[in-house]
Amino acid sequence: MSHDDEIFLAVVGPESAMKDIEKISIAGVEIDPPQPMDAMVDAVDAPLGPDQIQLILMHATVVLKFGVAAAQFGLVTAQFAGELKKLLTQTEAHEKPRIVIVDAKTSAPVMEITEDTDAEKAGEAIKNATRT
Amino acid sequence: MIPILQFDPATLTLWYDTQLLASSRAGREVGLALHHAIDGREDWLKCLVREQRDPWVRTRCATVASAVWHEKRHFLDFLLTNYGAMRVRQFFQCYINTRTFLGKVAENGPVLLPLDRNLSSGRCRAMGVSFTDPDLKRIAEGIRDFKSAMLDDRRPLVSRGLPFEVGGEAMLEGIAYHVQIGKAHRVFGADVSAAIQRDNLEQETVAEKYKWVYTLFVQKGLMKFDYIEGEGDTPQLNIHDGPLIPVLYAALAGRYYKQKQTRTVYASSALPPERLISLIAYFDEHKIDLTELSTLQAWEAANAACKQMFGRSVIEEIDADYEKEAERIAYYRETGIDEFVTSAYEDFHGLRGRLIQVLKDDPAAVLDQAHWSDRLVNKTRPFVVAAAPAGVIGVPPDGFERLSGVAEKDVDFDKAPDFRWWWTVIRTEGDAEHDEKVYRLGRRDMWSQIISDFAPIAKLMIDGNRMRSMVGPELVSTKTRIERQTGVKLIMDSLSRYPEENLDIAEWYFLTGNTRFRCQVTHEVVHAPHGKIIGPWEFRRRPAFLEALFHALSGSMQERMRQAYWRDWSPWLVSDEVYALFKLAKLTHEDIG
Repeated sequence: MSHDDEIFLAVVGPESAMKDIEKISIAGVEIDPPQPMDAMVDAVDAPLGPDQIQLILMHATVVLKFGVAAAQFGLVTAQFAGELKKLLTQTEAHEKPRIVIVDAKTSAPVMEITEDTDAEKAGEAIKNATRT
Repeated sequence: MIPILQFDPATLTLWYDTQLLASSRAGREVGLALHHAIDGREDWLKCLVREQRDPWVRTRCATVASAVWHEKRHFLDFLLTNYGAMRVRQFFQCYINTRTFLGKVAENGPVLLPLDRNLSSGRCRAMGVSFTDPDLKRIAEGIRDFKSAMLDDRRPLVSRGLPFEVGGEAMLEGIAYHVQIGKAHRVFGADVSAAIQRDNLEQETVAEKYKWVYTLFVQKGLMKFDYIEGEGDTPQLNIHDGPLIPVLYAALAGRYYKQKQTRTVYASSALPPERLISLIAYFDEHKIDLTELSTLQAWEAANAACKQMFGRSVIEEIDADYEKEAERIAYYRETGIDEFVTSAYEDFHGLRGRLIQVLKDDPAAVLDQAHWSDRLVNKTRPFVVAAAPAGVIGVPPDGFERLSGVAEKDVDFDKAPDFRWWWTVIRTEGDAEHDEKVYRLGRRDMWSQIISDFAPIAKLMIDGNRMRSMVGPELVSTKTRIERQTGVKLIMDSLSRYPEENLDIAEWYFLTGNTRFRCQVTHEVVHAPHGKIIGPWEFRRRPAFLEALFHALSGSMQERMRQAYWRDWSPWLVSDEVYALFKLAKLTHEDIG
């Protein structure tokens, strides 16, 4: 997950929430432009299977700079989790209001942000998951 | 979902899972229905359906045949419409860049797949990749740009009061479903057609994926229904469908070659949903009632509306797109970038030209579901690929040629038959130039190479392992081949290592019509609704479970199981108890390629 003094995460969520992720401005947090998870150009199926209208998901790579003291790092992750939670207010009614944070290198789950998430606890969970 | 029959825009081919069809409770009959529909043998098909006494078999034969018509319609529309041709071009852009990609990867060193992930500096740092080659960057930017265009197209129009996807692909689905049901009605009659409509997992009369067309067209006064009382338990609907395909064809005639778009407050010539909304507003504003118009009258109205709003009729937009396509091909030919791929693109372009001429000379054959049903569908002949995800030991059956599989070197297959199998084969139909009566791509040998070599590389470049495929090894073995060829490791981005499988055993019961199966681990019989289905990727992501399986066997049985693991990419059917054990095994996030 970490590379020298950087920690790499990937954030995945509905397009309506992710479109503004780049606007999050926190010192020590670098966010790449969001990109679609899928190309949406695969084969078209015969109409025997279940309905296939799919939610459009976007992902963005987030780099957390590691060069701060542990206490401050916890504040950064909590602030970041709080900002992600704010993005969920932009989701459309048909979308699942949920943002998933995974390890950018392996996609192992780190944390899930929902409307009920406590930002401080989420920040602590991110900190613990990334510093171990 | 479990794919059983698909149209692949990357290769313009119709794919079916021959092993899944064969495992249904009437595998022979369903297989015959499929091939009768592919070959246009309607009398045989009608006879086959009529003689079935079991209602499930009767309906399923008809459903599978109608699904073939559905996919044949996709073949036509992907060739004929500007939107469809743009989708095909996305893949050709990758094909034409394949040799550059292979050459430059060898110079650049390890790169991420999908290729556009390399454009994210954070991602490259995270994955330990250095992406510096300007040609690779250009290819990656092309992929990023068309993904962005697809995103614009696929975005649901909820904010405009429509809770469904109204993009180009949704329009192609709407057309294909409409003509499929119309054709089924004409061939099999009302009862069987109604049964086909309900023959889906949800048993809905019209699935959400297709319903939007009718809802939107009726809501916006573009189409109307009459209720006819007295037949059966529910009233029958008589659809005045004249405007449906003409208006959707007008919406699909966008400008995809960076031409100047026409944009006003109420109209836009660009994306299919924008064009459709522009047309709806135009007809409303000019009090043009489409509901009573015939197909040809509606086509005339749609052409006139586009001419007025965008400066070009639908036909003129298609001609302009076709001309741009010709220029693109001429450029490829002049630069000599890849003679083989250019020839395949020329073949596509040639067939597209023939079909555009049909649209001009005889628009009803394309735009009127009844005329299409009676005169065009059986002349439409995409190449057909049979997929066997579990692998079939031996050589392909007569009438098919191998596209992918394994034949170990220096092995006497008479003594060790397990060392040779196939995953995909193509039907060996004659080349099109020998049969002018059908609409088919020209040279099968050329398209075979596109299917087996170029398309899997393009799919990896575009979507990594996430692009759904009937046969997983198509992607895995291609990646290995590139790595051997270039001597460079291709790094599958962590977000694209596996496709979304989400398989449900209820779907398997529905597709096969079976009510029980034998657990593939314990061999006990499992009855519906019990049991679980494990996707081939998911299965490989729990190596501890696999090792436990191997260790439970010994000697030649263990060796056979290891071989089956390499060969068999079909889903595993297991009991609930085995599945519970499977879930206990640790999930790996590593690349299993």
